Amino acid sequence: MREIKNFYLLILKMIIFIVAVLTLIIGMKFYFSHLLTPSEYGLGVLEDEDEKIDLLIIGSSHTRQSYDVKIIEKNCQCNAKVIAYNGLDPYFMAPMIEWIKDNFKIRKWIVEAYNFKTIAPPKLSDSRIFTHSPVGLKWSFLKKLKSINTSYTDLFKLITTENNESIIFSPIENILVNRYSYKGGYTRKKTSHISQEDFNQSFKNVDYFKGMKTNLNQVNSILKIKELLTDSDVLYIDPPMPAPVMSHEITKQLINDYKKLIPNYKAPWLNTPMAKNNKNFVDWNHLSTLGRENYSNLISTKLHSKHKIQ
Amino acid sequence: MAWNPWFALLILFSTVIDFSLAKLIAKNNNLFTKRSLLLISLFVNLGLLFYFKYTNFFLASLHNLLGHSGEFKALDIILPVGISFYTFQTLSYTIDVYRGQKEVEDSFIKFSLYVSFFPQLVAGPIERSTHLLPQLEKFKYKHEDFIYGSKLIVWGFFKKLVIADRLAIYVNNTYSDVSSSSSLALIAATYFFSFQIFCDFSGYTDIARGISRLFGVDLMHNFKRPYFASSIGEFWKRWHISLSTWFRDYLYIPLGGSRTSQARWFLNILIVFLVSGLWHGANWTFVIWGALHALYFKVEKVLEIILPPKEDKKASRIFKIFFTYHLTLFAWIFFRANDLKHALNIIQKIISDFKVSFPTLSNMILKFTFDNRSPSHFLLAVLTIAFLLIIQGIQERKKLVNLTNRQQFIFYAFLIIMTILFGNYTESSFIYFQF
Repeated sequence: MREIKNFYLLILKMIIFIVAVLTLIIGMKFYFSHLLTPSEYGLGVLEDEDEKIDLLIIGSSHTRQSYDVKIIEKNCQCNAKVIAYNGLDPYFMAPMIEWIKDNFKIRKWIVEAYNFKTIAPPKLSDSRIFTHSPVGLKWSFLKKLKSINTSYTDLFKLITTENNESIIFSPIENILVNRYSYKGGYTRKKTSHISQEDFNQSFKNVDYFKGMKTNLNQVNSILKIKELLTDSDVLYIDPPMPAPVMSHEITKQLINDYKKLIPNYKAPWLNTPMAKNNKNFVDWNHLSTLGRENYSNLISTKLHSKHKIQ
Repeated sequence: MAWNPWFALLILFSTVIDFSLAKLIAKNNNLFTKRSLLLISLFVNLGLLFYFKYTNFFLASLHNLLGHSGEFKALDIILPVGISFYTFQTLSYTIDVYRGQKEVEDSFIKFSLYVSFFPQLVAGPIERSTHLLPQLEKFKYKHEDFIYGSKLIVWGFFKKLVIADRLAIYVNNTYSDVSSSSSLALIAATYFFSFQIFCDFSGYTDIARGISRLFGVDLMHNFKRPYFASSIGEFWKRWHISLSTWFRDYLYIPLGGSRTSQARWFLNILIVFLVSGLWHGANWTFVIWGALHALYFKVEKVLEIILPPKEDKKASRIFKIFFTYHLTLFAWIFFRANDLKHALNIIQKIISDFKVSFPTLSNMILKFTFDNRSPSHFLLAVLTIAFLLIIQGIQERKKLVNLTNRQQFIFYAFLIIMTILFGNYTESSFIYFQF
C-alpha cells in the first residue's frame, strides 16, 4: 500500500515540478525576452525613450534589404532607424506603430506599405516580432492573433518554443547580427543578383495572387495606421520591385486599391532606370546590395529635396 | 508508405497463413512436406513484400535496362506501413517452428498479438517468437516497469524531437539544394544525418520499448552506441541489432556463413548486405549502401588475417572508432540521397569544392534558417549531439542507473522540459516508417 502511495506521489511530484519550472521559464521569457533583442535589429534599435529619432522606416524583409541607413543618414544628416520583420503585415504593424508612437519621439515616418498585403490573409510570419516585443505589445499581438482564430497549438508554440535558441545563445547571436546590421538595416551582406532571364520572367510570380480577394483585416489595419499617423509626418511607400512585376495587371490594380485607402501612397522608384535593371534585384521582389545602395541614395535625395528633415 | 484500413486484411492474411502453416509443420514428420510448407510460407510472405515494395523498382530497372524511351509510369501501389517488419517477424516464427527451436503456438489470439504488437509494429525491433510470445502469456503490471518504461519514452522523445527533427531541417535544406550548398555545408549535413538517423530510429525504438515496458513486456535492444564501434563487424553488432541478427540467423548461417571457402564466404557476406540494403528500400542507393558495408566488412576481415589484431591500446582504439565512424558516414551519403545521381553529385561537390573560407563557413552555418537565427540553431544542434554522446557514455558505464532517485528525478524532468522547449513540432514521421 505504501509502495503504491509512493509511486503516485512520485508521479504527482514530477508533474508539479515540470509545470512549475516550465511556468517559470515561459513567464520569464514572456516578460524579459525583449531585453535580449540585438541592438541593431528590429525593435532592438529603439533603446532610449528620450532619443529623438528623425526618421523611422518600418516594414518587412523588403525594408531591411532596401534601406542602407548609413547612406540615408549621410545624405540627410539625420538620425534614421529601420524596424523590419519578415512578412510584417499591416495587421501586426498597426499595434507596433501604436506602441512606438506612445513611447518614442519620431519626427518622420516611412511606412513601407507592401501592395500585396491588402489581399494576403494576416500571418505572423516572423515570430521574432513577438519575442522582441515588450510585454504590452506582446499582449496586443496575442489579442490580434486570437481575433483571427489562431489555434491554441500555434499560440502555445509562439509563447513556448519559438526562438528559444536565439534567447539562450543571444550573447553570441547578437554579436553576429549586430555585425551585419546598422540601425535595423543590412549593411555588409553582399548579395548576387537575379539573372536577366529570371528578371524578365519575374511577373509570373504575381500569378500566385490571382483570384485573391481584398482582406478586410488588412484593409482595416491600413486605415488604423493612417488614423494613428494622421498628425505625423509620414510617407507611405511601395517597396521597390522589378519593372515586370509592377507592370502586371494584378500589381497595378492593387496599387490603385491602396491609393484609394492612402491617397499619398507612393512608388518613388517606379519610373526610374533602377526598376528596369536586373542587377538591382536579388530575386523577384527583393533588392540586391547594389539595388540597396541605389535605392537608399534615391530615397534620401527625395527626402532631402522634398521632405527635408530639419 | 501509407495506411489504409484494408491493409489490416493483409496483416491478418499473413497471420493466418503463418499460424496455420506452422501448425501443419509441427504436426508433420515428413521432412519433404515440412520443407514444402515452409517454402509456401516464404513464398507468400516474401511475395507480398516483393509486390508491395519492389514491383515498381524492378519494373523501372527493367525499363531502363531494356533502354525503353520515355518516362517509366509507376504502378499505383501503396506500401503498407510496417510490412517489412511484420513480414520478418512472422517468418522468423515459422522458420523457428520448422527448425524445432520454438514450440507451435496454440492460441491464434496470442499469435496475432505477437505479429501485430502495436508498439513495435511499424518500425521494430523485429522480435523473435522465442522472446516475445512467452511474455504475452499474461501481462503483469509493475510500478518499476512503468517507471522504467516512462524513462525510455522520455529519452526516446528527446532524441526524436530535440535532436533528430532539428538536424532534419539542416540535412533537408542542404541535400535538397546541392548546387547552392558549399562543400563544408554538405560535409556538415552528412555528419548531422548520421546523428539524425540514429536519433530518429533509436528514439523510435526507445519509445516502442518504453510503451511495451508499461505493459510489462520487454522488447530487445536495437542499438548499443553504434558510432563507438571500432570495426564494421562491431558496428553491425550495435546498429539495428534485431535486423542484423535476423539476417545472421535466417540468411547468413543457412548460406554457409564463414565455414566455407573464402570466395563463397565473401559471396555470403555480399548477399546478406545487399539484401539488407534492399530491405531498407526499393532504390539502388540502398543497394550501394549495403554493398559498401559488405566491402568494408570483407576488407576488414582480410586485414585481420594479414595484420592480426593486437591488444587494443586506448589511442589505437580511438583511431579505429574514428575510422569506422567515417566509413559508415561515407555510406550514409548513399542511404540519404534521393538517387545514385544525387549521391554522386554530393560526393563530387564535397571533393571538388572543398574550401575553408568565410563565405563557405557562412554558407554552412546559414543552412538551418537561412537568416541570422541560424548560428544559434547550429550551436544548439552541436550541443545536443555532444549531450547525447555524453549520456550514452554514462549509460554504457551503467552510471545512469546508479544515480540517486533525486538525481534521476531531476535528469528526466530536465529532459522533458528540454523536449518541450527545444523540440521541433513540425509534422515529421520516423524515417524507418518508410521501410
